[in-house]
Amino acid sequence: MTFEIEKCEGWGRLGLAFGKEGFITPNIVIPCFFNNNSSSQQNSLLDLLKFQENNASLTSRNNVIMDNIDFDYFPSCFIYPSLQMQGKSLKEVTCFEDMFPVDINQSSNLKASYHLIPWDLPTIYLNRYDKYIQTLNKIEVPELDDKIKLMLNVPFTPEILETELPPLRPSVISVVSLGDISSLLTHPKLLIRYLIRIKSWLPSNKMLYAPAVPSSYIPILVYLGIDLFDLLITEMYSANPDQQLDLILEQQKSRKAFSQILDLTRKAIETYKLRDLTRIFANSYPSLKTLLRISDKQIPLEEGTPIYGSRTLYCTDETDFTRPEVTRFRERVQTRYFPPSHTTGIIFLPCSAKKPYSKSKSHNIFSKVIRQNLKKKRFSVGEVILTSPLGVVPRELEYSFPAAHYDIPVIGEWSQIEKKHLEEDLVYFLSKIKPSIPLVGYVKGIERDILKKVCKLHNRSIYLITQDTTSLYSKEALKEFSAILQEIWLNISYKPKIPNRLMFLRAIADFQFGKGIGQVLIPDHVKIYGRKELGIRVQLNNKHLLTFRPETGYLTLSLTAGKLLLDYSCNLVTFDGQKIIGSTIFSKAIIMADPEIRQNDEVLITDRNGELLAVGIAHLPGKLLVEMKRGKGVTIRQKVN
Amino acid sequence: MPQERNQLLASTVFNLRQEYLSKRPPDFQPKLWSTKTETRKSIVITMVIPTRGCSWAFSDSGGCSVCGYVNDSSYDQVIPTQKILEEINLSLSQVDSSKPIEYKLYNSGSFFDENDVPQRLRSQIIDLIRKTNGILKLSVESRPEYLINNQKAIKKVKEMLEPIKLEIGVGIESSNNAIIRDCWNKGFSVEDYQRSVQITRTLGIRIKSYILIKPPFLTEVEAIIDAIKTACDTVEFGTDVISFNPCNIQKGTLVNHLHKQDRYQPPWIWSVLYIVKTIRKKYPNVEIICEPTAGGKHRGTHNCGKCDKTVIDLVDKIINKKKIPDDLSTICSCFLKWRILVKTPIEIFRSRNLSRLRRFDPLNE
Ligand code: SF4
Ligand SMILES: [Zn+2]
Repeated sequence: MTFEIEKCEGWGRLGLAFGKEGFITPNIVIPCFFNNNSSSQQNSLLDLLKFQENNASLTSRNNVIMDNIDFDYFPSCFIYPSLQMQGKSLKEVTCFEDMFPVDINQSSNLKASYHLIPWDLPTIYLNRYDKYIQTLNKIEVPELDDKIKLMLNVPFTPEILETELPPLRPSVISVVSLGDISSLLTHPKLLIRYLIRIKSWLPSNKMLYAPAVPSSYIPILVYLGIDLFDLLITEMYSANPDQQLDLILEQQKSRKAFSQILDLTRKAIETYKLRDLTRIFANSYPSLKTLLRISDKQIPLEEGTPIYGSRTLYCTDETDFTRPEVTRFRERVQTRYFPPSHTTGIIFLPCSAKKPYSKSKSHNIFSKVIRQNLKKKRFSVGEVILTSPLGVVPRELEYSFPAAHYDIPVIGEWSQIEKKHLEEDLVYFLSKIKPSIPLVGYVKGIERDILKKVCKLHNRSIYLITQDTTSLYSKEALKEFSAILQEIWLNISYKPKIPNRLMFLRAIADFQFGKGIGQVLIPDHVKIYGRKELGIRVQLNNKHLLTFRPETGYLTLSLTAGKLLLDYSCNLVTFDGQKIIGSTIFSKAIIMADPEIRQNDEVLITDRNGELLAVGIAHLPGKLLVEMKRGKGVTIRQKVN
Repeated sequence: MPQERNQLLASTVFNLRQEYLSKRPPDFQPKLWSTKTETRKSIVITMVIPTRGCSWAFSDSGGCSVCGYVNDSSYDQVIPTQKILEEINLSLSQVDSSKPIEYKLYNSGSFFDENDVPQRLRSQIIDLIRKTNGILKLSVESRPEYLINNQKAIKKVKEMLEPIKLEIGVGIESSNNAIIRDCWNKGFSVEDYQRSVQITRTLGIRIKSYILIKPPFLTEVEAIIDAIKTACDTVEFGTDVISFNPCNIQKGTLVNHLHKQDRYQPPWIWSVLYIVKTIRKKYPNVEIICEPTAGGKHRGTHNCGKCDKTVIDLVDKIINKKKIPDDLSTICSCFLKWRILVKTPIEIFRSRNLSRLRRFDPLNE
């Protein structure tokens, strides 16, 4: 298999097919209708219908340059008549060569070509796909040129959603074409189920081809795992005079629009902006929007979403409230964040436009008031920021992606779903705090309402400022805040100070690697150098342990840290070998990987016996690290000598 | 001799057929009907009689995937012999013999199959025909195996009829064995057909070959190619008449089942026109027939709904060697849609929602 993945987002992949000399995916393929030149009748038929325009014989393809697209640059997809049309029966086929009307190796002078395996019509139409695949699995595969790959068409049928497809013999097929996908574009629910079906059946190193879809669907279909497209729809539209088109659809007509959108999509994956691009296009049609909205619920897009990536995370519409980065943050706060044991009070604060919050003017003012009123006791008080769409952001996590990176339109109105999310997160948060601990809410408007509602519902008393406060920076409001803090001062006990930075780092370690990891990874006797905003280095017994990077808000590990984590088997990658040479591990040398690993995650590399060999950064999610047979897997940061 | 069948296809066809036939009410009246048309040269009488019904359709292979003729046959009831003879008599007595008569006698099965048409009934019918003045030609239908196995009976019928000509229609449908077996479920092979043609022709009998347009499962363009190739082959094998039959949807058949799921669409009339045009050009002297059943309707060959009648008329014109416009797109804009459909390979990827593909609005499916 010569497909490697450079980067991914959601189910989308930026890849390289046919090796280094090949082409980038997602990309276009050019379907070529094979015609059998030996039959004179067929020839005359083809003449009359003027087939030649989009026809190509196997040995030469016209070098067409249309709308500045060099067609020779794209791989061909040869489409052959069905077995029946060729006068064959599936039963008689023993070798793949038998299935084609010509020797497909003839096309090896092309840069790259796919050959669609001809259908056996009754098995396909009578819903016996299982039988078809089982037979294909038994057929002998001939030696094929490197530039030739086989493609299998697995069209949608309602039955395919219900029946289990037999696993495909790995060596046979490189690409699966989703033949019926164009009929599902306006049926997003079925489309999603179809994609889930195919994806769960097919290993990740196979590519997916979506024939005849319009260009505006490209970004989202790439996000949902499609690698190859074609220009069939432009041909269909341009030859169809009475097609009524919405203005917005006009772009479907042009081949140029196709290559531009593809270009954009590839750049988007490269810069971790694919999700943003899908949102932009999703607003074109109701069905596209539905597709995006339900895909968050039904597809584990989070698995393919990097742990950190772009410098900003824009949340501009309701689809962003459920985007994987947001959902992952909320989930991790819910399940991995626990206020330190010495916490004796909690203050809820509003978010700020400037990130991290503590660098904003407003939070500076709040800190000052807190410092003045709580004095030393402030170290045993937790600060929590209420915001949308991230919900509850503990002060310790304000640097961690996407807390310091998200950006939302500020209108002062919240949608139902935003409110619901914050409520949920608050319920979780409150459940982790002893009832005796005093709560203060220095928030107004919607955050105040929600806080009040949740506290009331859970029988928790909370100090809130008066409802009609217009500005949290006004003298009156701040005075009220001071008064409240004075009042709780009595109830807060001063606990011996645990270094703030230590708590900060442990909270991040928990958030990054799992609950309880902070305690293991960062023992009490470490030495901490540096400041949050500039980066923190941590030493253990005079050896470098880990670094906090303010840009991402995550920790990077040294071998020493790796050793501490080894027993907790998180982010483990098993390398097929004794010693790592060079600074990269390729995915073909990876036998096992923690499925929880995400792109850009810190990983521990061990040999088969579990001996630590190195620490590094994952290039791909855990699932792909195992399933891919080519391409980079892990970049080594430090290895055993 | 019957060709090996496609088990999956045969059992599906069988089940659908049984399901439909089992729902036939006990008081069902087998259908008997006739039509009479007058052409320039002759009067054509078509008489459809409900004999037992096609044995192939009652077999455990279920019959041909497109054919619902058995629905109207006697099947599990007594063959209404008396009524059949009376009706034939009536139809013969009503014609004035100013023009010669072509008599088409169809029993929705094989005329030479003893189980379908009992020998006694057959002789009685032939007797009636033979005694009538002015009959030029008798047309019947049969599957090839009865032509190969019942040579004696056929020879006798032929001799009895003299000087009335005998024409036998054989449904070959396709000259591609894989399509015959895996799409049509015909249960015989092209070689069987070839032999039956040879045998009957040496007896001086005319052969009419039925070619069905658009096998189930095939794309529009594949169906066109198959029909053209089949027509050429039948001419080479020595057929006297080619009868093109664009598929129509009949009850209790596989095609009906697929059609309901939108996995089958009858051919465009443009395709029919294209096929007929190609064959007319290639064989100017062969007799061609094409009278589409349910033409212009959803269950028959159709175009957009606006131009159907016009284009069916064009088919007729071509058969009769009259001129038709060069640029067909001036007749109806749906011609261009059809052209895209046969030109772009999208259809080959798809197996459902075919009517939408036909309407051709990819973003409004
Ligand atoms: S097409 Fe002819 S052979 Fe086939 S089932 Fe019908 S009557 Fe019988
Ligand atoms: Zn029309």
